Amino acid sequence: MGRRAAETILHGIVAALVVMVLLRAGRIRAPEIRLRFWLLAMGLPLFGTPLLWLLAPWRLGDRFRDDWALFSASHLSLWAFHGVEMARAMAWLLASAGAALFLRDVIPFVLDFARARTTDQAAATPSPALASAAQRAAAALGIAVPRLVILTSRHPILICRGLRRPFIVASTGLCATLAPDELEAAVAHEMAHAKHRDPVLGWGLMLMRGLCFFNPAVQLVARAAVAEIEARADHSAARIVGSTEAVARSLRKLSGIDNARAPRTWHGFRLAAIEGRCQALLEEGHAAVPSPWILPTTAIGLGVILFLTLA
Amino acid sequence: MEPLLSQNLDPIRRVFAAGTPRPDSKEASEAGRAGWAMLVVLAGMAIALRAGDAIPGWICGVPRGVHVCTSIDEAEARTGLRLGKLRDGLAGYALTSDGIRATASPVPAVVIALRGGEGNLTFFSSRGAEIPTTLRSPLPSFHEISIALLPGLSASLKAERQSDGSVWQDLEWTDRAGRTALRFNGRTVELLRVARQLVEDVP
Repeated sequence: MGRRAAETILHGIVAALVVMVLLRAGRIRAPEIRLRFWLLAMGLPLFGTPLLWLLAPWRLGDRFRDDWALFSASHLSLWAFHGVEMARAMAWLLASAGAALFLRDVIPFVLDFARARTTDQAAATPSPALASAAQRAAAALGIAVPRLVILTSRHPILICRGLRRPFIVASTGLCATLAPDELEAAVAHEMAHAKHRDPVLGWGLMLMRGLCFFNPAVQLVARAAVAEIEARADHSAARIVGSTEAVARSLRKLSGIDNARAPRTWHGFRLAAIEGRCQALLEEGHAAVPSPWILPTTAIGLGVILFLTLA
Repeated sequence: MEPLLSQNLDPIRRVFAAGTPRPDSKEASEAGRAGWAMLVVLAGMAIALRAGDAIPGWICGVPRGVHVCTSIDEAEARTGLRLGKLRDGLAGYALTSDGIRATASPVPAVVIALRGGEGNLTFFSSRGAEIPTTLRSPLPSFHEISIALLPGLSASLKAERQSDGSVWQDLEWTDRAGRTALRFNGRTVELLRVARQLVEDVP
């Protein structure tokens, strides 16, 4: 494995660890701010590290490694097992884990996209309850009501799609599944995605993951960022409908948690994550808002640490 | 109509827009916690990385800045010293495995461990006036004399005692290439034979 790819992995791990511990230790709970931190942890190894190679190629020399570096993975080359350097073996192991994580998420993402292209044509007119919920949410968010695409299906479906102009895809079975206040909450959640143009952000994250497909830290950080995007939409929905319970109930019903079994499967883990989201929403108390300078200062501090960290 | 690129960058701009609400006095102490947390986390990460860097050398007994070289060629490349004469050992003494170590600072220097019938021999060479202590740890010497290796080239010969009580001899001289030393646990006459062969080979 190339030393530069290994350095990207190392920087990704360092940035992810710093952000993870900082979010916990600083009790930073606001999804909007947490999202910025995760994007920082993703962006530094992806863009900052190549910038370091470009601007400071002398970093890679022996002199800098020995006199200035905080950490140089080349010092791990002292450890070898049957002629295989441990550092090299570890880099390959991490890269394999990164590629596996990427494939695990990109395949459903692409299949979902391909399926959506065939179903995103309107098949029915929206029910009055859905239309009025969409109008109220759009008014509260200060956006125009996006196009509503209604699919004929008894399964409850509600998704925000569209890169240029976001639209909401819903199914005829949605209104039958959700109570009126839950419907309002679920629609408000998707409207919040539309307002923030989250489908574009989702594609951007997947593109960044593709660029760093071998980096397990980038893959995990991207997942954390997606979770924050969802939490941000949850909070917006709760503000619009004035009830965290309604949002949590709609989430549980739409994910099918109530009917779910086999919690040890991958699907089970996904449901557990959704349940965690619901709990976080319901237990949301007083959340500290850190000063605006925390993020840029963290970026500078992390930049210095990564500058002094070499593969 | 707004260009497509500009539209699609909107969400990213919004994420980085300075829209963070300002904390009021009630929240100030909790918000300050994030600042302290940031300092502690960054400092903690720096310390952890430094410790992680030091552990392999600490376990393997290799000081920071010293590289274990796999070949004479690698040592030459790292230090710029000319070591070709040692490629097949030195005056009947063979290279030992993992016996080549080099450092680039404070001056490029190399240490090569050799083994032969008369004992263990360690060769030190530095491009500076001194051999770095990371490569050659100072030992208490109890006897020192000056010896002429060649006409116009004198060396200092010291008897030194290792921590295990064994007595080694340390022969050290300076020439155009820099500082060279030999540490040997065999007879003095054998050490001088090796040293003379070494300096006579120098073009």
